[in-house]
Amino acid sequence: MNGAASLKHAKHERLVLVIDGDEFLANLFRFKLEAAGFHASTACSPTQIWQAVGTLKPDLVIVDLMLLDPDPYSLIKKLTGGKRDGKPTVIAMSRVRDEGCDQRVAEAGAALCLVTTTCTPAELVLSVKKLLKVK
Amino acid sequence: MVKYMHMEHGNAEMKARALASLKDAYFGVLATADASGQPHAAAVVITADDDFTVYFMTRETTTKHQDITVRPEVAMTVGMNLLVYLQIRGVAERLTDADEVSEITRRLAMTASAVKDFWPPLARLTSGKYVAYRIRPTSVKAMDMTDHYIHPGVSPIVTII
Repeated sequence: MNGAASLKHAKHERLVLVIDGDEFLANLFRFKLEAAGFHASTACSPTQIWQAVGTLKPDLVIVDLMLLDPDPYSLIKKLTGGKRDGKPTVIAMSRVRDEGCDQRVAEAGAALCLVTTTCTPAELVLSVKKLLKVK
Repeated sequence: MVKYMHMEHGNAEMKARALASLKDAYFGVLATADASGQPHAAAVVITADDDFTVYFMTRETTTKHQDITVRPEVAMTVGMNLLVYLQIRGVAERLTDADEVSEITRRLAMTASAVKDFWPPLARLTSGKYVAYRIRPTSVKAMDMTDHYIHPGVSPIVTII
């Protein structure tokens, strides 16, 4: 788990947790979000993920759908209680759009499903801002 | 015939500018060769230490990784513009310490995140595991093109290492 403690002076008093099994991508998202003024933290291993989920109070969580452990859909459901308007807000992130992906993540409680084939880094940050209602 | 005179080794000011140029760079062009000597060049996102050690990551399926596996001697040119750029030769070593790999992964992500609307190649390729490398430089030369004039007998090449 990295990031949140080092960002005491972020523009937005909102914490975004990036859960991604790919440490490079997780950090890439984290630094993009920090540059946009958010507090951001990453969790990449199962231990880090459960620790972050148990101790941090993120306003928004980005969950990688390629995650192997824990199952990303179960994780989203655990985070949101299966409610799309629940807290925290969840964005599901994938590198491929699987058939039925949108419906599955919606049922699990994610507010949005983004795919890197149709989403630029700037659009990811914009989506976070929109969902957290910050400028 | 004009004989170019190399500037004094270790020119402190040029060394500092060369290091700044290296640290400002998002990427370098890495040259490798396979066992038969067939050359290959590819752009890689980089991060560097103060001693000109350069780090990059790739995937196990790439040509550069396969080349380095059989022939670790590599060369790299780095420079965000043609005013100051570097020519580096060295030996590529795969990082194996998990903490070091994690730290270099973080630093490379920071480098890549500074480029607007950029999904780096690592994010676009999906096959093969990540491998992180350190290039231990055996030779570093800086090309200083900041002078607006050409001085006969003075080479723009500064030997850093």
